[in-house]
Formats: sequence, C-alpha cells, structure tokens
Amino acid sequence: MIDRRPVYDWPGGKRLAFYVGTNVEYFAFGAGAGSDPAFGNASRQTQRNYAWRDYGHRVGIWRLFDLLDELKLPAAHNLSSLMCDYRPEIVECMRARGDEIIGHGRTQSERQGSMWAADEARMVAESTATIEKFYGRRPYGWMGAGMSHTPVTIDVLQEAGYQFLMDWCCDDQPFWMKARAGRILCVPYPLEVNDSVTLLFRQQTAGDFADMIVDQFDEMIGQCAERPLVCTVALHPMTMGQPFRLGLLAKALKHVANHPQRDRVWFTLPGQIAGHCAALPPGIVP
Amino acid sequence: MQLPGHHRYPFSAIGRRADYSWPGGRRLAFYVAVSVEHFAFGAGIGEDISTLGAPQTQRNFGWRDYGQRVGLWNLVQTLDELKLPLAHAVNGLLYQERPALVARLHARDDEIIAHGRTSAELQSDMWEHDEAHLIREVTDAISARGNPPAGWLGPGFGETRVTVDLLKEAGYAYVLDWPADDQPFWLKTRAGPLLSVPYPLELNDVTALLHRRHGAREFGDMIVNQFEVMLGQAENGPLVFALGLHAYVAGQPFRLRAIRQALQHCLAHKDRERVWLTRPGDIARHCMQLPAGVVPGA
Repeated sequence: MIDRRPVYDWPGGKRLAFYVGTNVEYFAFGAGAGSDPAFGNASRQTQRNYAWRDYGHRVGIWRLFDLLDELKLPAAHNLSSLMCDYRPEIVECMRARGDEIIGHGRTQSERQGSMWAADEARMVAESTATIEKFYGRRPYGWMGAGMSHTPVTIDVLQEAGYQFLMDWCCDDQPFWMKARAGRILCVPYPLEVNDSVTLLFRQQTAGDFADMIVDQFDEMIGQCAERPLVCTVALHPMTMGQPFRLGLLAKALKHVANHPQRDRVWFTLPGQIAGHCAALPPGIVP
Repeated sequence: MQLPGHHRYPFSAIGRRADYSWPGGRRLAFYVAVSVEHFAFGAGIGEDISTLGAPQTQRNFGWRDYGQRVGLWNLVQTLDELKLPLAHAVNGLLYQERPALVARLHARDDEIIAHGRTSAELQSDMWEHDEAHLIREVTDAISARGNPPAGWLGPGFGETRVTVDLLKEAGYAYVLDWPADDQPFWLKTRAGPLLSVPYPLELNDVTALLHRRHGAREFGDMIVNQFEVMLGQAENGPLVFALGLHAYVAGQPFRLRAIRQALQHCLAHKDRERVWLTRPGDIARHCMQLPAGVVPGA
C-alpha cells in the first residue's frame, strides 16, 4: 500500500519523476494485428488503416521530435525492432537526441501473449540483438506489444538481461517482481494517460486527453510532497502527430515543462528511474 | 525478418523532402470534399445513427436519404456563402437513380470525384475482373455527363491489392484512399505512377461523428485546430488541409452550424493569404507539372 512504504527521493531531492514514452511501431501490410481510428483493434487490416499508421512514420513522429526538442524533453521510445531495418532514419534521430530505447517486440502486428515459451524467448533475443546492432546499445527495459504477457514473460525477460519492464500498470512507484532466476523491476507506465487507450479505444477527444495530462500532473505534483512518484505520458505518432491533436498536446506538455513547481520534477527516462531504484538500500523499494 | 508489404511507395520523411509552393507562392492547400451517396433499401451496408453495424432499415435509409433531399443543398449553400470551391465524391449509381441531382452538380462546374457505384458495397472483396468492371461503369457514367473524372475515392476507402493498378489503367490521375501523409506522393502501379492526394480519415464527419461519436462542436474544434497547426507547419513545406463531409451527416442543421463557424474562423485567419482554396484535382494538376523528383514516391 502506497502510504505504508519507506519514503525516498529522486536524485537532487526531487519528488516527481516525469517521462514521455512514445510507441514507434512497425506493421505488416494487410496481415496480423493493427488498429484503425474508427474501429479500433476489431478492424480488418486494410490499406486505409495501414496508411493511417504509416502517417506516424512519414509525418507524425517528426512533429513529435520537433515538439520534444522545443521543450527540451527527453523521451523513451517503445520501439518495434523492425523499425531499425525498415525506418532507420527514425531510429537515427532517436540516437541523435540521446533518447532511450525500450524493447517492444519485433512488430506491433504480433502479440507475444499467444507465443509458446521457446518462440517468445527467441523473439525477445532477436529484437534485442537487432536494436543492439543498430543503436549501439541494447535496451534494458521492456514493454510488450499491446502490453501482452505469457505466464513466463517475466522470467524470459529477466533471463535475457532485462532490468525492468513497464507493462503491469499497477502502481505510481517502481516495485520488484519475482522471476524464476532472480528479480526484475516494474517501472510505472500509463495505461490510461495513453493516447491509444483514451483516443482510439475510449474514443475521447484530444482536448480530453490534454486535460488528462494536465490534471494527472497537477494532482501528482501535490501528492509527491509525501512520497516519490512517477508521472508518465504515453504517445503514438500516428495519433498525437495529427495536426488537430498536436497543438493541444503541445499546450499540455508546456504546462508540465514550465510549471511553477518544476524544481520538484525530475525530467527523466525509465532507465534512469530503474537505475536509481536499483541503487537504493534493500527494503526501500517494495 | 521480413513482413508483408505493399511495395507501392518507398518511405519518405516530411521535412526531408524537396520544398515547393502551391500556385501564387501559397503554402497550405485547403479543400472540402462532400460525399454524395446512394444506398440500397434494406440491403447491403450503410451507417446507422444509433448502433454501429445495425441492420438496414427504412429508418436508417430515410436518415441517409435526407442527405440527397436536404443535406447536400444545405452544404452547397453554406460552402457557396463561404466562397469555397467544391469537390463532390459521387456514387456512380446516382447518374442512373438521381439524374436531376447530378445535373445540378455538373451545371455548377464543381469537381466530380468518382466514389464507386454505391456506398452500400465495398469493392475490397471483389475479384479483379469485377472490380475493373465496376470502375469502368462509374467512369463511363460520369464521362457521359461531362469531363472524365481525374480522381477516385473508394467507398469506405475500400481497395483490393490491385485497385490502384486498375485506376491508372482506367485513366485516373489521382486516388484519395491512402491517408498516409499531409503532402501528395506517387504510388507505383503496373501502368505507371498514380498520385496519392491527402484525404482525411480523421477530419471526416463519418469517422469523427458517427464512428467515434464526437459532438459537432468537438468536430468544429478539430477543424480549427487542424487548420491553425498546419498553417504554422506549412512554413517549412507545402501541406494539404482536407476536410471530408457527407451530405447526410454534415448537412443536418445542428451540425452545419458548428462546421460553418469553424470554417468561418479558418477563412478569417490573419495569414489567410498563405492559403490556397482549391480542390483535389487542382492539387493533383499542380503536382504533376512540378519537375520530376520534387513530389516524393515511386
């Protein structure tokens, strides 16, 4: 329970860790899984929803890079490893920004939750190796495509050298999870302050989503006086990169970046949060 | 690992392309396309106001028929008052079923975009032989009244794996079915290049108001936000602002009001002289006379 745990600080005595997480995903054409802005995940795969998602690569992600550059915000990218093969220009730009890459499977057209254990381990190894080869550094954090797990995902990730995962969404602080060969940290990541869930599946507007970002941040900047917290925003370039949404996102992120109490905020990345927690004395992180 | 791909166009990132302008040095092309559709009674597919995927009834037929009887003319009057050029995406069967309606559109000299035979069917499940026949039927019906159509929009954006080949072979210059960009780009077909002109999947009354169930005022906000952000972005490269409306949706008076207000706001913008009020066919024609290599794609 959050109010019965040891209290600690983020580096520099800060109390609210804030990070932006994007999802930059590669899709099969006319096959596998993928969402549609009108019909969600239930839609068949068509040239129309493929093209809509491809907009994220051709236009949307570049608009998000511009916005994050303007606000001097780092970002963590949940990256389909096939992006390294098919869209190297985009991954190059992430490297030039010094952003963090989070393992996110090979492609968003498949779900890890329906794989056999041996195939899952091979998929994790393949996607990790592809990113390491292209990016020069392997990812230490993992977010499953569609937040999907098998009964052994935690074990497979820990055995593949992952130090943290992000797809449990059950806390505002990191906590340790048990794996069969050790332990792995769960770093908070938003299921709700997430454009995909809010805008595509719950069919809310960009104005609603921008309000959610502001309200989540404003509430947490108060709560963090009592304990350290993690505040995050999850974005997808084909969704938030659309001009009619982008301006509202910019306003909300500016509210965060220029907040009068920003000296309490640690603008960071999930890997740094995990590193900080791993270095705390035993028993502090639940 | 390789995934199935379409092989129609190579990747290209906005901001890393040749710069060009629209006619007169303008930076934001702005067009409104009105879909004018004909439905089967009690058969095929079609939207329902209450329930997605509801059966076809006299109630939802009547609601959509409002578009032909009232909504279209409400929209035409409103867009005329705003002095906006007009493009209509027209179901080919209207030429047989509603000759007086299409005669009025042709008399106005608006652009006619071919929009399949009827929105009661999707062409995406057809054999190539039948799809080629469908495209020919529609093209012939429009050409018998006026100029052959230069552009195609499939009902529901429906395409098969060969639609763009068939369109190029039928003499089309551009297609609106690929919402992958804010600039036109070339698609490769077996008969030569076909231009993809932006047409909105999201800034579209059917998607936003029927499928996503937003309110008309929320849709009005989307129009204004899209316009203002794009006008700023267009400093760094020419862009296309496209608005997709349907006669039976946007033509309802309570929606018309919110849409009119949003469009008035856009047209009164202080940087209005950077906007090219146009139609998709004019955008395509402009792109086609640019030097090779300026417009990205195959």
